[in-house]
Amino acid sequence: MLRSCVCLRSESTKRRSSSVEDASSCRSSEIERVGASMQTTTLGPNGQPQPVAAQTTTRASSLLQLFQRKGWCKHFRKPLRGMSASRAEKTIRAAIFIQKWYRQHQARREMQKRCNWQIFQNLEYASEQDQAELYKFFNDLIKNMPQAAATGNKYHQNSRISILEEDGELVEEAGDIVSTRIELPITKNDIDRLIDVFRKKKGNRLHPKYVAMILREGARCLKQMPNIVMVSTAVSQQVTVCGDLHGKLDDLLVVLYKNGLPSTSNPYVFNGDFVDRGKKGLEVLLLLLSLYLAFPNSVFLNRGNHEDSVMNARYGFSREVESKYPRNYKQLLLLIDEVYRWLPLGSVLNSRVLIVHGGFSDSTSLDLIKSIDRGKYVSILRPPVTDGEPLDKTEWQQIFDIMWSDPQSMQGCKPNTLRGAGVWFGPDVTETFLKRHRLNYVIRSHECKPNGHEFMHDNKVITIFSASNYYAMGSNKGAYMRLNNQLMPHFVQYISAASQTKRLSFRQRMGIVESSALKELAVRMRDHRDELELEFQKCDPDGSGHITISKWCCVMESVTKLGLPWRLLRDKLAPGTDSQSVNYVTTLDLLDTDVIMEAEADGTTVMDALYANKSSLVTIFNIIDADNSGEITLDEFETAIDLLVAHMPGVYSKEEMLEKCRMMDLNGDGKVDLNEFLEAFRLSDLHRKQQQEEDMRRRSTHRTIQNPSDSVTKLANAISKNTAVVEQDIDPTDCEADAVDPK
Amino acid sequence: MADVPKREVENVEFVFEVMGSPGEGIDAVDLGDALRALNLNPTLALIEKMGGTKKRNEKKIKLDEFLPIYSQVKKEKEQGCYEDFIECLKLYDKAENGTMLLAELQHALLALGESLDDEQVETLFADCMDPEDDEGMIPYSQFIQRLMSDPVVFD
Repeated sequence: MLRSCVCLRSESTKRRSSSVEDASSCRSSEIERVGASMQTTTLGPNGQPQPVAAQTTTRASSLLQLFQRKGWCKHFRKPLRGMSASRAEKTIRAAIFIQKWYRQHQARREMQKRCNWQIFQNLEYASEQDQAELYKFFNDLIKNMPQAAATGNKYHQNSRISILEEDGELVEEAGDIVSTRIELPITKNDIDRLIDVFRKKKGNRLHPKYVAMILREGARCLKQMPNIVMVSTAVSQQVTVCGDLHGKLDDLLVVLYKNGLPSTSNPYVFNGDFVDRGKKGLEVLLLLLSLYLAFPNSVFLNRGNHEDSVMNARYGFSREVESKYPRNYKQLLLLIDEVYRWLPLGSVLNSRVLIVHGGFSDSTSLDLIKSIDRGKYVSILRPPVTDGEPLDKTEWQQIFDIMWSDPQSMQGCKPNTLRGAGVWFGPDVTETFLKRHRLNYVIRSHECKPNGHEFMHDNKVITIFSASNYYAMGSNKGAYMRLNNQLMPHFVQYISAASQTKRLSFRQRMGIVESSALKELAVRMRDHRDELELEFQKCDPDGSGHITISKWCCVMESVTKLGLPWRLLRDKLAPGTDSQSVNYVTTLDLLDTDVIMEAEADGTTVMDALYANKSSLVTIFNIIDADNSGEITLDEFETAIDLLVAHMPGVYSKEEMLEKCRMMDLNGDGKVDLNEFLEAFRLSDLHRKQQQEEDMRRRSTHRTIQNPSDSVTKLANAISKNTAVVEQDIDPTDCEADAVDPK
Repeated sequence: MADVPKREVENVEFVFEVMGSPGEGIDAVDLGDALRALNLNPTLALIEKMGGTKKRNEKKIKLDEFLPIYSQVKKEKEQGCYEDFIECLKLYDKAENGTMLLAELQHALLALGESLDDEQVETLFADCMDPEDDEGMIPYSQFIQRLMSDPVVFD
């Protein structure tokens, strides 16, 4: 389109600064008046002054002079020549109006984008916060249990040692298993074949024995690495660093496609969070481990906060493994735990640049971290497995800080209340840390950024995030960074599956991101549906169904505990509402639509994760059972329940939990052994699921009586359409990548 | 003293949260975008007059400094309505049939007034414009309608 414009010159890419006081008040009389007192020179094509050729009427020439004098465009003369002043003036006015409106259009777009971004980030961190509650719960538990020693999972300790040595019993899976065979040692050829299998849409799976083989061999090799790995560019002269991948195999393949496979001259560091949220976490993990096994001195893997079975139980990876290998997932998850516990905690590049997943705090000491026995921390959210030794909370804290912290722009170092673990560290903390450890800067990941990377703290902290389309299709770019021998960073940012968004207009793309944000938010709101209904009704004693905007915002914030711009979201979450009040019934109706209810069924709450995570329950039991008798008294258990309820308010009150335990004490001697303990939780879990189903049934009958309004249905349909996922084979060439100019 | 209604102050606070850093306010280079996000429509000239800068990190504007600027810009009358645009673009409508040459509009946007750059014009057309016909003509009233029909972020 633009090519047809004849007057196009490359110089016009710079926005011309208008020096007219208020361009919109251009009147011809004014122009004339001003024009009369001006020089008769103009700027030629190279910007040098030239005399004006008086070819036009007096009025037009004064107009021309005005524009020339004020340094406006060099090219306007052509269309205006021969035009009357008022016409010329009108043309300018039109142009200015359109330009103004365009800029407003862009600014509004930007604001919409940021609003959606805020929703996603808030939701993400709010649920991570829940998860971190577990860590605090365990901490409290240990603190409050008299003579408690974190004796850890005695039951699993032995099995962990053997799992690395023996071939566990793997059974055949049903369905499509590819005939691809992999043998150790893994070669580049194997990598190519693995990529070919992994990139197909679901259905094609590697035989479980090869999955187990890669995991086992990976863990075995990783075990030999130190906690902080020294990486050097002495041989390669450069290195590539990637951030969070979160199960996005397409992004990993884009990086490998654009930047080449690892080799002695092309080493890579992958900075954690390989799994969870994305659908191909297992493939990403297996491919990374295979690359590591095939090119052991050229691939460096750091642990992230999602390399953790407790996180995986909540964020989807455990479910992914279960759905892909329903008959073998338990074995495979144990092997994955082994990989996790032996992943190094960070890397240092040329002794000058630290690469860790989260960040650091004012008490982080790399020496201390180097001395830790990292194999103890199977999950970072559970107390470490020890052999009767007391738990070292300082050590535990150190690991948390490097995995979970985020940089902030303000000075100081304070607990990260958004995530619930780690700290927020300011530029002063960075400076001290770098000085103390004699480092130049830090590379970290952990936070999604619109362009896949961000500089902070006077360019001393670089965030690199490699999962594009992380929140929704088109929500953000991913990036990888290349560092040369002088450790100067160059970034390449990209979007994978670009063809899916390229053909869409900006409006449509925004629609997709917005729908995804609303869907996630609505699912989260469903957790509190009854409470919302109650609070709304309290504000509406007349039962009119309408409340003021302020009250609606107030209720939403206090019930969901999410600090979101509720005013902005009002017309989305209460569709069809007018500008004076809110029809809150539409909000509740929206939560009851099919699209939201189906999405909820997919999700897991932290309680689900806790119940599902047997190891956590066993740990709780062992902590309470201070004397290692294999039994706990109901009194001891009561203390634990207090803490559990305080940290994770689930559906059950303390009384209900205790009642269940009393019921489990079959022999009535006031004590509960491990199996009874687990049984108690399992039954709670069962009861809770039954309760949920009953709720859903009750609501769907309620719905058939009162149909949701048109606007709610329309919105639900839009959300459904925009968030429908089309799964395809991955094609790494289908990407849009561009290199970012170095600063 | 800026007499900005409470609800609008809340909107301003949100914009500051999104665009600025706590304690410092927004960068003066973002003054224009901040005002636009709040449904105002100042020209570049007006923004500069009100204290906007062209480079980042030159100046910061705090919330209490921003409010009088907001008040002032709000009073500016020349917002421009649909009819104004159509009247102006009719000047280019030689056949008087609601179409004009795309190239002329493009040129005007690139060359006149507070001109846009190539990328901006390309984005604008991709968003709001139907593709030109064989003779390079486009229906301008639709274009203006779409341009002005953005969902309002703040009410």
